[in-house]
Amino acid sequence: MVTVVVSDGVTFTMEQDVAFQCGLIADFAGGGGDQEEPIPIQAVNSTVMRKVIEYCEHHRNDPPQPEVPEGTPLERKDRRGRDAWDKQFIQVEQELLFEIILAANYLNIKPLLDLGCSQVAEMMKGKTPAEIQQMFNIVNGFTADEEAQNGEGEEKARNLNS
Amino acid sequence: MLKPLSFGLHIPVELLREIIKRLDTVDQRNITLVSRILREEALPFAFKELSYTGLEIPRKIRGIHQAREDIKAAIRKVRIQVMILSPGDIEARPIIFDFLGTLPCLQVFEFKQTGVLIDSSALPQLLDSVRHAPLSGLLIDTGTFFKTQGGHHPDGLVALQKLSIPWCIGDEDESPGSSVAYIRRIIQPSLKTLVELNLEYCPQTSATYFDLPLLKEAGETLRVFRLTTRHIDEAVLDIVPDIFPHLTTFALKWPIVNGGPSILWKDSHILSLSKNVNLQSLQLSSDFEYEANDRCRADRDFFWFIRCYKRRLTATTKISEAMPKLRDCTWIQLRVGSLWDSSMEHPFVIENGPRSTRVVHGVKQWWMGSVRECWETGEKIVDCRLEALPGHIIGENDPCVQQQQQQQDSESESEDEDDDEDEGDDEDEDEDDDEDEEDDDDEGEDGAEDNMKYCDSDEDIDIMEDYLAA
Repeated sequence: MVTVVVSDGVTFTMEQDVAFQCGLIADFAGGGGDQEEPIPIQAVNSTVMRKVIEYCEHHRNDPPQPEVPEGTPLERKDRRGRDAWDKQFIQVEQELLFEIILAANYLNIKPLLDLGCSQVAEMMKGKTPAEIQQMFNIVNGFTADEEAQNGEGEEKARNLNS
Repeated sequence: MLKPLSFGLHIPVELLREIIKRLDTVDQRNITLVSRILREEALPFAFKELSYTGLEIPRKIRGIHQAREDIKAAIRKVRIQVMILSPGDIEARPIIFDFLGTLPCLQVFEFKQTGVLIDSSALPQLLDSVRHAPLSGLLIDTGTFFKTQGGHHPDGLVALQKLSIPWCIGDEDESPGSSVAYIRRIIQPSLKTLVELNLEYCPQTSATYFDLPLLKEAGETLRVFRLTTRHIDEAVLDIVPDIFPHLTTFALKWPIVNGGPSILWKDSHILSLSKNVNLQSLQLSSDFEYEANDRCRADRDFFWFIRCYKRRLTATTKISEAMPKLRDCTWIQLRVGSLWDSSMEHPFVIENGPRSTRVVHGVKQWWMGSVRECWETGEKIVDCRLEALPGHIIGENDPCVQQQQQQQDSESESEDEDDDEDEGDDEDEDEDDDEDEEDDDDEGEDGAEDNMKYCDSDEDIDIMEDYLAA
């Protein structure tokens, strides 16, 4: 068994095959037997850690992911192993989604990172710039001149190329 | 480095890029207008490659030419393919030169045309327009010009790593200013850096000869060399390893000239080929049927197909023993049946077997894999099943390939589902899809038909008949 303690002090104990899906924990534990001391995971809180463990438990019996050659289209990479459960799992509030992405990156869980990034991309797909700004509460930061250019020449550029 | 995606939420730049990578081009371009930060990160993806095909290309380029400088700085590759000219295209073509001249980071430029937008007199301008850029790859396919039309012949570009030139100018003239001198001049400045050279030299007259040793300077760097030449001379097989000793990929195609065969295969060629000690991939268009006096009797003479395949399997087996690093060998068979300008490929892969043996596998071709009917030749039924053919054919019936195929099928099913949801994908992606479809077709019977052009003139038919009679 492996025990971790997260940023808000909550302790989680999980079986090795679940815990070792996190590259960080596997590295920390050195691939050896049971850990006596809890492993500190300072960058993740308990809410997010629960989701991470839920994901790792579901995928504990997955075969190891094959090395995907450089240059493979990302969509194809992601769709490998992304099932209905994953799609349901990642339907979370926006804030939690980004925290899961950050946690997956920190804990080094590549499939979960892929899943999270794909979900954000999915949310952006087909949206206008204004809709994306609103959805993610983004301030654009453009100057007035740039705004004007965005509306004129670039519109042509975007529509007329290719 | 952390960057704010929205209020209170900072994510590392590399994650932002991971998200952007997963968007299609249209969405990537949309998010360049969302915020300054997203623009910085998305521009390199959104405008990395531009491809212009179809009608009114100068007008389309005028649109992107008006874009901001940061967009132009993001462009790494431009591909222009002119199919048919629209009214006003010729007058408007300077916009292409102007646009290319404003791309500071262009790395790859590909220009192909069937409709002549850039004639030989405008080629110097086209080259000059990309001369400022850090170009590493250049493809120039300007079509057939009968004369170079005199004028200024510019130097080629320096420091190219990859250069492709289908060059069809034929003026039979070796003198300074001739088309041969012109093509040399284009290649010359990059000779010390070229890693890949695709040279299709097919002038109207076969008398013009491209002197390969003039490229010897590329010998140290060149790894991939593909040559199409109408000069039927097997000496090229000895010249190539001599001037390019480090080749890993070599393709040599002799098109059919005056109705005759391509160069005739001889076992002695193996000795010449084996001098390419590092060669991993080989492609040749050698003829095996002329010597064997074996004619194709119908467009679907499957017995003939099998005989052609077997001859090439035998040759590949011999080559594989002489070339220990060779992994694949493909034979281009030119003119199949009564089809003018047609060809078929016989690909083979080579593996190392036990005790230093070499194992050659045929790769499944469109006509393989089932029992076929061939009523025209009288034999009626031809057994083209893989198990009936020699060469341990791999392809669809190979368990590994089957597994991959199943995986791809399940992926494409899920893609289809998703695609139904997202109508209006960008054109780049559509083009890719088209290419995929073409690839699929190549493996199928219909695709093979698509690749074959039927005789469409009496002259063609006469030439074909002469060839068959011979």
